Amino acid sequence: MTLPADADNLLPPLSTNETSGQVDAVLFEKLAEVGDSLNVVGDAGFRPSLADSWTWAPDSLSIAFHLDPKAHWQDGVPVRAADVVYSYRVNTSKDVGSSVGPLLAGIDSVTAADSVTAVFWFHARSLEQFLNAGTQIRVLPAHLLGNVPDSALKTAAFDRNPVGSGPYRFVRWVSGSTIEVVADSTYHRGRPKIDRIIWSIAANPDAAMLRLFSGEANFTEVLRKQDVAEIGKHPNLKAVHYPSMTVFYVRFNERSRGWHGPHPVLGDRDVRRALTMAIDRKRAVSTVFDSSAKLALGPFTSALSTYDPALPRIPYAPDSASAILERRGWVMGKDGIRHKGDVPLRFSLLVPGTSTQRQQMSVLLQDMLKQVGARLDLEHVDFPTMNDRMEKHDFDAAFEGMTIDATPSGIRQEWSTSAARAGGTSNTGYYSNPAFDALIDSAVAASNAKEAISQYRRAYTTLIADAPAIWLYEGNAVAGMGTNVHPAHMRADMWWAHLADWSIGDGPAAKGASVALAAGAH
Amino acid sequence: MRRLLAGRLLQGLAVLWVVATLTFVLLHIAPGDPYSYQGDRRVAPEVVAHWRHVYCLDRPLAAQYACYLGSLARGDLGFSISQSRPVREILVDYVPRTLELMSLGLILSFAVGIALGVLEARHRGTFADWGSRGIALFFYSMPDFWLALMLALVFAYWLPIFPISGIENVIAAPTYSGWQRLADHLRHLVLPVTALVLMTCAAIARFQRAAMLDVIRLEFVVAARAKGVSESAITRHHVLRNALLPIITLAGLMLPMLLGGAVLVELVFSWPGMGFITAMAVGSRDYALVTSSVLVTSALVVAGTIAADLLYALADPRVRAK
Amino acid sequence: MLAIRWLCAAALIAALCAALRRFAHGSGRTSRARVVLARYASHPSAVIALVALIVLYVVSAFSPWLATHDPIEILAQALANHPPSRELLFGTDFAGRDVFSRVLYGTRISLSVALLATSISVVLGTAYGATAGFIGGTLDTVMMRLVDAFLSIPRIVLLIAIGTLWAPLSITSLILILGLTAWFGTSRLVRAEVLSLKEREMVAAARALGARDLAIVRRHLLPNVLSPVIVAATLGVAGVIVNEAALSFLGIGIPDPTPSLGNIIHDGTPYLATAWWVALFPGIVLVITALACNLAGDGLRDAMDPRQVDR
Repeated sequence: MTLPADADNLLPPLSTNETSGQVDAVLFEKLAEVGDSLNVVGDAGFRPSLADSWTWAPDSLSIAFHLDPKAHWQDGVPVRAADVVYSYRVNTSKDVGSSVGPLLAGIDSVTAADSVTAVFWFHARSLEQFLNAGTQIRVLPAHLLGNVPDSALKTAAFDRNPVGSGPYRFVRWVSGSTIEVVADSTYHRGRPKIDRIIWSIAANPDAAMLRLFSGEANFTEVLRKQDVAEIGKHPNLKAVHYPSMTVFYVRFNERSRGWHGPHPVLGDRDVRRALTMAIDRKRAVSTVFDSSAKLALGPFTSALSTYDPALPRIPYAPDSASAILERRGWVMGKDGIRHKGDVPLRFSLLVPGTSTQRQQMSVLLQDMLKQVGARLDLEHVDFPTMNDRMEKHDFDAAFEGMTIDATPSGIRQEWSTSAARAGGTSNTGYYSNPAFDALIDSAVAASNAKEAISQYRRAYTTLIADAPAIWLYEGNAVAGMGTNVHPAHMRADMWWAHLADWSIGDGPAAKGASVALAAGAH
Repeated sequence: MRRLLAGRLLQGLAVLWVVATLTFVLLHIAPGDPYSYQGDRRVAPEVVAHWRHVYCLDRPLAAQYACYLGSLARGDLGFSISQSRPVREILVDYVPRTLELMSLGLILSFAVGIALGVLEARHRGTFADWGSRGIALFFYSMPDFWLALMLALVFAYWLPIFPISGIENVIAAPTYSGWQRLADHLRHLVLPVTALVLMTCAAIARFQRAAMLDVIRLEFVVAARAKGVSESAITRHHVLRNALLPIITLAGLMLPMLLGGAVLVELVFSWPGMGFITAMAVGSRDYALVTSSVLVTSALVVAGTIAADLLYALADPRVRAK
Repeated sequence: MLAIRWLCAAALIAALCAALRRFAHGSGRTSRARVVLARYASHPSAVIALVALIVLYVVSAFSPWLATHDPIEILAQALANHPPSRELLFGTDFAGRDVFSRVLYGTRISLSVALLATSISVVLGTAYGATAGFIGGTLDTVMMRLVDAFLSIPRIVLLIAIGTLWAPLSITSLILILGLTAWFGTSRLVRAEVLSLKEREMVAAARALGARDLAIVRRHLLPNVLSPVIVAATLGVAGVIVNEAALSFLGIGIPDPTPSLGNIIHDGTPYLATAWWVALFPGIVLVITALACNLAGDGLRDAMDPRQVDR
């Protein structure tokens, strides 16, 4: 069942879904933006946004952001440091429960040095302190919201009629159908090129495609294999590939369900490797996606600086897979399934039913594993059930898609031994290898980038060899759009980051554009 | 009459209470809660814990139930977590769209159904009678979702005439005049309404045909015919008038079928109505929204049944006299 | 080879139909069953429906024997979404599986699920309705309000909720859930019938003679409610098969790779524009099944109910 991606709440601290995030990105501003290099360490590459410059204190324990004096709210009131102080307070307020809150834990306080200078004070130095201070908070108008109690923010009238300082003004929001914004000609960083952006909420990819074909939309975020082929036939449409930060894989639970001892089948590293060898990933991926889809090497994508196409991978070798299984005592039974004693070589895979592509691919995986005598049962569940069962470790294997952090150290939170705790949401399959942990630790502690990269790559090699998961593919990010749409750089972590710089049509006479969203296509 | 109404209303309330309790229990004993829905994203556990606490999700089931019934009694339908707005506001947006779809569907399917039924009764036993009944039953037997898919295949893919999703052409709508906008909206309604009408008109046609045949055998019709009144005049003056009454009561009873059909039709045609929002709410374990939308749906059905009962009572002097 | 198999199947179907016909028109003692059959046989549409049901049943019972391919085998990557041809009668789906064979097996699965679920719902509905109607009083009121409540929620909403919340459903639990959500109408019907029978002389006489309640229910009430129940069951199969298909279509019914009519349509939906055959053929089988059940149900109603006049 594919379902709509209507926005949930347009007040940034309360918005949790991607559509809200996209709309918020053109309505509200952050102090600074991550640059196209996606660097998150220090402040290299960051671009000014609401703040046109910043100064570090000599001890690096505070950063002063100097607001653009021309910046103003769409009701005409200028943006002031008090707004920044207010926004920080709201994002950390217990009564608001913003998902950004925990990221701000390293910040001690925020003060207004003068009307256009906001100072962030930190508990301690850290590599990502600028990232957290400058880019996690979207600044809110204190003069409009200041009188609303924190606990009432989620029902405030402002949420359905927001006023920001960004390049676009809010026009209307028709639940389940449309969100419309219009260019603010007085925007302090210059009027955006496209007059009007309309989010047209399409409940499924077919609906989105048909709108694109009929001209009811100019852009759709994700194309499927069949759509790419179809778009080729339309002279007025084009397909544009963009980098992605999402990696898809089948995670093995190395412990038995509920984590009582090792898993009878998947606890054995050799068996996991053999199962990986049974998968012809190239064929599986090209059946579901078009030829542009990239195979994943590990829990990262090619957009990451530490990526190396030469990393070793477990090859597709069904014969060796059978040989390994034979050697480990898994003997082929009459029913076509291998057994070891009375334990069958059988496990189940959690597949999110809302994802057509993962569902299709799981059918192919099932068939490939059958060839080496392993039986895969598919459990179609929706995301809430999937997350719930993974938290309880009640699964054998899960078909996950994970949007990775721009920082390579993120891998530690997901795959190190310390991340695997009962009831936790990360490393739910209990992958544990002290050698990997040590390599990651030394990579994070490395004094220079080159050293760090080489340690990361050694860690990746170890992880891949242990086969805690079958790495399948990187998010196949192909957008469909009219040939007259000229997107600016589409960032791997959020393609809409530069929406204000997009243009449509030729020449300065910019026309309105609409964005058709398709949920459930991943 | 008043006692009848009061009694039926009381029974209706009891039914709604049972429905509310059932949905509540069904949702709460199922695995997952509104905060296990984050797609593939991970939200910090302390944030989730905070919200779980705010919405009483960390309290025992009995306490949550008391909390729920209490607010229901106050008329507070709760706060939708996935949509981040009060449930009442969401219903105000979505219920009218379903009502629009349903009332259009109901009116058209009654028009088509009654016309078919009358024609079939007048030409009973002929090829036209058989053919019309056969075709109507053919569509009646068709799974609603598949009928919707086939309509999309034929009228959107093979002959690109009608849109298959949404309520209006969002890119062009702001530039339309009032009439153009209405026309555009109607164009979006065509396929979903057609699916609903095709699905339900068979039942109405069959009921109408049977009711007509019952009346035709009655003495006064036979007498009129003996007097030489023309067949079409008999149909108009005697048969139709007497056969229409029972069919009005059918309208109330058709509601569950239409509402059920509307769920899948809304899903296939991305029509943002009740069925759509209910399925979405179930998918995100949005307890407040699921319970309220199910409650609204069954309230519609209950109201339909009561209306049918009352109409029937009004039409039948024996009941009216009591 | 396959043609021979299909010929055999056709012969079997013809033989079955002929046997039924002979039974209906045969001479000898006229039992009630025979009267009913004869009345049934006088409806051409009902006879066609019965033949269609027999065809469906035989074809699905012998599906392993009649299929051209293994329904879950992925033939070849190059054969994905292949249009219908001589070799692949209904084409192939996204993975390159033969849709014709999948439809054959899918019919079998869908029919079995529907039949089992309907049996559950009929037994439950009859027991529930008979209890409420026979005992009466407050219990009856409470039991019937419960039924009202269930009937006021569109069944598909209930099914979607249960199917989503407890995913994944095994086939057994799917059958149970389809059965447990389909009995409300039957129970109403049986209750009404029991209420009217209770007033009749034979029941009063039996009671006067000191018969125990259970005996009265078994000997006098149940046999008399049998006809409406059989009709309801026949119509119920159509409803259940469509609901199962709807669930599988939404991806919360029968899990891959097992084919069911609904999940073949599910697999075909994303390719409606390019590979329409995947969604079309299983749908046609669904319509035929549901139509045949509805027609047969109508025929049975006319045949079994002496009060019905021929229309």
